[in-house]
Amino acid sequence: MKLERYELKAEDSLMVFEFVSDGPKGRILKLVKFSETNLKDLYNLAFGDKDMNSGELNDLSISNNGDSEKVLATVVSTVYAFTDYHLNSFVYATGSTKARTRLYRMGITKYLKDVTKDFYIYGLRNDEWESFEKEIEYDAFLAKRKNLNFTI
Amino acid sequence: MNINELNKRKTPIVVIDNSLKKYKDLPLFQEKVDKANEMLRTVGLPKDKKKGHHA
Repeated sequence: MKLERYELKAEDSLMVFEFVSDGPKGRILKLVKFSETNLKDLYNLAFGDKDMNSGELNDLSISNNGDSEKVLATVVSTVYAFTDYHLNSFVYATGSTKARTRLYRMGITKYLKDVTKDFYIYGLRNDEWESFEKEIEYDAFLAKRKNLNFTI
Repeated sequence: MNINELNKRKTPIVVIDNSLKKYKDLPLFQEKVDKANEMLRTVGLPKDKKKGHHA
């Protein structure tokens, strides 16, 4: 995958990342956070816009900054960095809205061949995880980095 | 290394900025985390990760 991405900053545990979207609407600060869940080694991935003045975060905003593909590619790159550091972790993600979840599904579908070289990708459907398939609507997604050591 | 070479790397180069640590323990996107926990309580993890066609 040779997509353009934004430069990333992170704190040293690589659970919080920041980058700046730069487009026709100006510079928009984005924050990506991997949060612990009640399941060990499973982290929730969420990202949103950070108001440069108030510092407040919004994961429902629609920036329309003309760079959605670059933003998604940057978020995907945080998953690479995170799973390089947090070995054997699962990353869970879902959109803030159904439309956004569908957008994520389309993004995964578009680059499925590349992504599955490095990750096991699952989709949540009817309250069950299944291997991600194209053309199927899912409620959420789960990614697990492929490596030589993992066992259930 | 120029930007094109950087973009070819799957794992990005990350500049460490520990001023971001303040967000680590804040309940950011907490609604999403709560929803994830609720779902994971009943669904759990994939039953057999190796069954997938990507394996």
